[in-house]
Amino acid sequence: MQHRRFVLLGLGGVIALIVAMTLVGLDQNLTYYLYPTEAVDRRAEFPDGERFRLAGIVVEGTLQRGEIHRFEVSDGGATIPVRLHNNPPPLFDEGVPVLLDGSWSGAVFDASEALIRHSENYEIPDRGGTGPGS
Amino acid sequence: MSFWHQTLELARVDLTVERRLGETLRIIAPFALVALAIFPLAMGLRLTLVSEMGTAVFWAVGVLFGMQVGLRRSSSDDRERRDLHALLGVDPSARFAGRVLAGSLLTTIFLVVLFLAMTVLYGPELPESAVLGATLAIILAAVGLAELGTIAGEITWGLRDRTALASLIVAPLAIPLVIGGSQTLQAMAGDTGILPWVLLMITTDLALAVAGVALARPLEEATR
Amino acid sequence: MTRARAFLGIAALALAVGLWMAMTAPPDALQGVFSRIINVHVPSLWLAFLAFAVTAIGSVMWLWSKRPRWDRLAMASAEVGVLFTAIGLVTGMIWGQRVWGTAWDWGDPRLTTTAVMFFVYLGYLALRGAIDDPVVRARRSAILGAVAVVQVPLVYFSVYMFRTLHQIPSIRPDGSTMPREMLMAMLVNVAAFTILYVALVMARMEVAAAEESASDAEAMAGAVVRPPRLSEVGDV
Repeated sequence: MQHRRFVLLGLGGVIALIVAMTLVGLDQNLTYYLYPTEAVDRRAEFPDGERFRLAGIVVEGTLQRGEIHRFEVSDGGATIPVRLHNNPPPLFDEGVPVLLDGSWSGAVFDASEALIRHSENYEIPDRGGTGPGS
Repeated sequence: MSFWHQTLELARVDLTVERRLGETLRIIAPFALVALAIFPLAMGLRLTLVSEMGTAVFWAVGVLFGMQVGLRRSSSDDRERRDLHALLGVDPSARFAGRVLAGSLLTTIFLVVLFLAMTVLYGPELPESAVLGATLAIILAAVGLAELGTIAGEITWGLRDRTALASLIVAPLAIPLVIGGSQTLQAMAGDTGILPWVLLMITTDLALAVAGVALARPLEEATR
Repeated sequence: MTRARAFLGIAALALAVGLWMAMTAPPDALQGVFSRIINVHVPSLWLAFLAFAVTAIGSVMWLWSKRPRWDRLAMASAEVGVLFTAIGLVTGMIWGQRVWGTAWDWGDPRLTTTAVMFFVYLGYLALRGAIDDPVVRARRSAILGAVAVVQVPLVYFSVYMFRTLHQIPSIRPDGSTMPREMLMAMLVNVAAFTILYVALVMARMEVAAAEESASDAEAMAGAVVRPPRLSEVGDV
């Protein structure tokens, strides 16, 4: 192959750059959602009204359905109260991992849309699987 | 003639032909400007969104039409010229490099014109410092697009419908450039780091350069 | 009966068994009956990955040996791969609409990389369609086929490298996170889809071989009186 040295060096360079990108946190920057702990830590970056996505599990016992659904999401670390202004998908319930689209409004997260984040776990109902876990 | 000497000569010929035919600035750029105008018209009266989508539309239009610059007619030789190059022992990689050099220059000019038009037509909110980031992103994108256009041009050389076909083959591969470029501008607007995005574009450009050089001779044989 | 027909018969049988197992396996606690769609979605995409890898192998082998059979293999495998990718995308969208609440999510790297892979191979097929001369066609698509395969690991590992909406695989080398019944149904369907893949590729290759010998005969018999085709008087 012509210019073999260039091709091999180039390939090495590409691999090195890919490693560099992960080190520099490209995967973090391409992250399109935050967990509650991160959202709270980075509260200053997202002023009221600035849209982002929040992912967490609906805390048991906090769900109040209605015109505006109210509940709390948590990742085991921080817990954030949420107001959801649209109807969530059918599988939405307590203990379910959700992905919310919205923004901060004071200490509450105002969400306009909720998606269910299904984990890789599957469970049979009568074997004690009440939820998808994750 | 050394590799670099060949490259520069071929780039110069390319640019001279383009200067005479003028396809880039006379056809592709105006068409892209029309495309820029179509988006806000399609938005109708939701004008508040126009300034927000300015940079995004710039990159979408810039990448799609920028690829066409790489496919310009002046850069595709006819059979006689190719045979002449082969007989003279011109290094196929030098042909690739020369085309990319000329193409990068033309695409950079194209993207700069497009960017200026976008700032006027869409009025995005960008800080003063964004100029530097935008320039860097534009140059990196231009190189990548020139590389993509040259490779696609070679694969589809001599075929009918070659422009649409080449664009189809190459468009998915241009996505890292779109992401890198638009995120660079967003990062400048939001005052966060541009390093990951610049690295993404550099990696894409380097990977394409490797591909272009490695495939240069097989492609030349494939298009004989 | 040709080999391809025999395989198609076996594939039909295997798919019937797979379907039966999928429908009798217990549904998931959260998703309900919609979990059963993974028995189509996952095998389709796995076989699509395999198909594109085979295309790359066929491309490289053709470039090395120049024997037409490799080119036919590359082409047939790419066609089946595109079909399976489409099936995977559609079933994924049906599942997503029900479970996630949306049929598509632009931020998710796995979905985007899969869509890109789909379009790249559509481009591969479009390239082949635009060339009449078999040798030129084989050459150029071999180059594209060998390079485009880099999409496959990108799609597979995207779900590990980035934070995504799409979950990580439930079946991994270090074990699975599915109950035994569901896992068995899934594996049977993977086997059935594999047989289907082999059958479809064989059938497609047989058709391609028949087409080539037909056009060879035509060229030998009536070349003098055959009217010139558009591609021969076209540009450059």
